[in-house]
Amino acid sequence: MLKVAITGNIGSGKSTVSKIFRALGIPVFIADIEARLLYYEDDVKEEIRQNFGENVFNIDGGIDSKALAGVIFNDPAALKKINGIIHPRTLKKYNDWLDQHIDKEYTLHESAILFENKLQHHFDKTINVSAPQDLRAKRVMDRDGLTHSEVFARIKNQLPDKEKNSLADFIINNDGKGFLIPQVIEIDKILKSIK
Amino acid sequence: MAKKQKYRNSIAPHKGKVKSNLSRSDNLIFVVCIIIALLFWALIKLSHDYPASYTFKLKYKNAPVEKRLTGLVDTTVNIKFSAVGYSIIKLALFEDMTELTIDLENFNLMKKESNEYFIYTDELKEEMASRVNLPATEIDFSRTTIGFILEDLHEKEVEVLSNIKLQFKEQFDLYEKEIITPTSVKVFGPKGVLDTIDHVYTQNITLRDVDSDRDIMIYIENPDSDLLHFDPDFVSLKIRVEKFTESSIDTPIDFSGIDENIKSFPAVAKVYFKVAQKDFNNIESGQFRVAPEIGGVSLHDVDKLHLTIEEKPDFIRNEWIVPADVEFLIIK
Repeated sequence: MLKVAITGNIGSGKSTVSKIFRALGIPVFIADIEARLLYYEDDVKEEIRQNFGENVFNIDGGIDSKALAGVIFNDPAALKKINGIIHPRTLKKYNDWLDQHIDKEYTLHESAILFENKLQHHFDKTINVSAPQDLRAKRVMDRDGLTHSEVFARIKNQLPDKEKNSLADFIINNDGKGFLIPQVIEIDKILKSIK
Repeated sequence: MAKKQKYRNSIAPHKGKVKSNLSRSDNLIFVVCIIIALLFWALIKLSHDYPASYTFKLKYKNAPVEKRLTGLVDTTVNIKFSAVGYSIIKLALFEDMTELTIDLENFNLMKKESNEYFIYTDELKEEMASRVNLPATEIDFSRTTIGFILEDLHEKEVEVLSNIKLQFKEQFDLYEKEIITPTSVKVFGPKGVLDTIDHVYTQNITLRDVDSDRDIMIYIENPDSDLLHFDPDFVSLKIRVEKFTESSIDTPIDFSGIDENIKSFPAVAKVYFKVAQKDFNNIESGQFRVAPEIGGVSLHDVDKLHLTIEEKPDFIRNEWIVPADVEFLIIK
């Protein structure tokens, strides 16, 4: 079974592309969602409490994601620490998930920061969903109600599309002019033909 | 002798001047005599009778209440008479001898055929006689009758449409269609004209910087006040105005009307719309239904489906969908 990763910058439409793959019967592991779910697990909360204290917790005992983001935003050491807590667990979840889909020709792992975290070597093939920066910014502003500057603060933390395209095995162009489904079907055919 | 010489000396220098004065005085007397002679000649001439002829343009008033004047058979009438020069001069100076207004109330209207009526000019003689200060027997008309068209008035009830232009202040707009009271009026006029009328418009006025409700009285535009009249000739116009805001709502795309198992990308469309601020809190996602337009479309021949809003609340407006088209897969 091939392990394929799909990535794309914010607003590129990678979730839509993942949904098309899923509609074609391909299992999709969405790393960002799975990582977010980990914050509700007791052992993760305990480890975060030991490292970052009570200040990043709500009154009801849940993790205050805004407070945690404030702590790690300008502190690379804190970011490394949180990644050290979350990433191994996410990876374990992924591996458990892969075991459930061993019979499939390939599976898809969706992650926004695949190339930023240099995780591409864990996969057999990679796909980047690419779109012009202005279009991505507009999509995010419409979708999340963010301001122009808030969107660009997020965009600048990601690698440019050009660089991601050069690292990826497949590129899906989602500039809003062409069709997505034919591109997905073409990649699906190629991936299924790889033995 | 010396005295005589002195007199001669005093006269001598003025001799030529006296001659000249005498000549000028003679000329003046001559001119005055000529003028007096001409005056007497004119007075004698003006006391004689002369033939006179006038052509009057015809106008009419006071048509019978159940009828309306819709055309003229005769547009002018000529009269001839003899009168002393003084009278003719007086007419030329003090009377309008170009237009004759016929008050139809004062005449016996004779029917010729269909809608064509006439009056006898003999009935006009008395009026004309008093106008020119002559006995009626002295006046001759160029024709014995004057003809015109009188059509029976008909009645029709027609709808009143607003022709008002509203220019709103920013963010303000019409909350609902203008309410016109009454919604219809009676129109009176010739049948031929009424047959061409299905509705009437209010007067065309423009209200600027509108930011609140308005309640105005407005006249109905009469395209031909000679032919038509309205009852009532004005209506009340109620204009409800509200402040609007833009909003949007995510709505799942509904494929329930399609036999095939369809999956679209995206599966949810965003409906943008304008809504009055007072209705903003009444918006719910269940009030909207977005579905693809599939009339005449073969799903196997198209790459995208065009979306349309099938259901929406009545109080929203200017709505549009993003995306307008979606890609889709037919799931086997």
